[in-house]
Amino acid sequence: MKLRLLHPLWTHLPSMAALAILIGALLSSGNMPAEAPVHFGPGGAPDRYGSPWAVFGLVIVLSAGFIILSIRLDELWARQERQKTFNHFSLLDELIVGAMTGHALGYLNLILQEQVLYAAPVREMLWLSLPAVAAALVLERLRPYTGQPERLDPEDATALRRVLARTTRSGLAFAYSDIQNPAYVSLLSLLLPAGIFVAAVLQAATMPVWSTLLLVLTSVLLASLYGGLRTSVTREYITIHVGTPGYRVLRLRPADVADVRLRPFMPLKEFGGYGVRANREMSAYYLSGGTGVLLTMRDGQKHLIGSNHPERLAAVIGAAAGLPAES
Amino acid sequence: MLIVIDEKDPRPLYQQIAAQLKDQVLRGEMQPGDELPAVRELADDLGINLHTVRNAYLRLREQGVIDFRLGRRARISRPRETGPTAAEAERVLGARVRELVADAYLLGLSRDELRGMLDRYAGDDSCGTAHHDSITEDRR
Repeated sequence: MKLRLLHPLWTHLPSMAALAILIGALLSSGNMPAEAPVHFGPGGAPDRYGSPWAVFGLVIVLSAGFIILSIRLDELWARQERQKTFNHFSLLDELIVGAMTGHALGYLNLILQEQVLYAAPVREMLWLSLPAVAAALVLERLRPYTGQPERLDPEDATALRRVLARTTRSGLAFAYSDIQNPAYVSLLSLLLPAGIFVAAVLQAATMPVWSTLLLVLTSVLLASLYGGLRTSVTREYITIHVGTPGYRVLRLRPADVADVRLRPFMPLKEFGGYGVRANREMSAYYLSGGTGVLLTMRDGQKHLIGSNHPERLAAVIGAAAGLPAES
Repeated sequence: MLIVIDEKDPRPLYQQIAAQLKDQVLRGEMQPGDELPAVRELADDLGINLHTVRNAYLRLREQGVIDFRLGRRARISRPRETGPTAAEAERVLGARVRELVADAYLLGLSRDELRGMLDRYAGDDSCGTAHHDSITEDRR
């Protein structure tokens, strides 16, 4: 299967060029000392020695990893946009890879010139990151829009509306459950905490106790997110739970809902990511997708609830709130 | 997933829950792989005992409708690749079909009328038979 990127790869050329400049400088640097200072104390004096290749290897791997992450992030943005919008995230890899590779160039000069004290190579960092960011800014502006203008695909909720009409007329108790639990949440809530926990155990002997406890606590918190986000609607409440322990992040009374409507949204642009979010206009709860159910409360507050079946969720909340069905 | 509790329904609550979930699978509203709410959360939402929900889930698991293992969330099972054997069909449906035939007899329904009723329900679009047909079609 051919992978088609909506956000073109050439928008990442500036960060790739910054990495290529570092690799070119390393290849043409001639005799690299087998041992050099690899860590410096607060005064800039070296306090650890080792192979400089380990430092450069780390910078190259981190830079390449960040470029790949940035390609993924930009692609996510492009798939969410319904019209061409400027993606500020597309400048991140140029900024970070430019600064990292610039810093590595400064370090290369330092060890080649056998300088004793470390000083932050601000000149090299600016020299690489600023042109890279400027080029990325131009490329992001030039990037064509290749997405789909309208991806709202209403599903048929007629059968559900019929059942809801009968249920509300008869005053029967009901519970509607809507679950968002994409694979990435399961992975993040299993692999990441496992990795952090192993790191905590491995460094326990050499690091202070508080740092070990902090890592263990972080891994437990991340693991507790396993299970994703669940929205339930009953006659009495609209409730959102998160994770295995079922943290309750939202509880509303359907009677307080003044308006229910479907709302397409851009997770990265409007809320800066996924999860429990907020912007100046509303709070938002979602783990995937680009269409949610926007609830406007009688006091003016707004809540956006993500769903894999937003049409159905909107129909159920509308029925619970006693609002007339749209269709 | 929508579950409605009807106190006038003569069936026990766990049967009501199981029947509604199966109906939603038949309609295609619940798809293979879709997650079900946790037993405790659904019980809280419906205001019923969690053992009632657990019983419904266990019954659905026995019938192969859901996959439900300790420590993992219940999910709608993938459709079977092959149809059931005669013995399996008898084990799962036999008692209920016998009861249905007996009820039809006591009601005074003729064999043809019962057959017509079954055909009507099996061919009714609102029962999502298009989805069901596609499953049986896949098996062929």
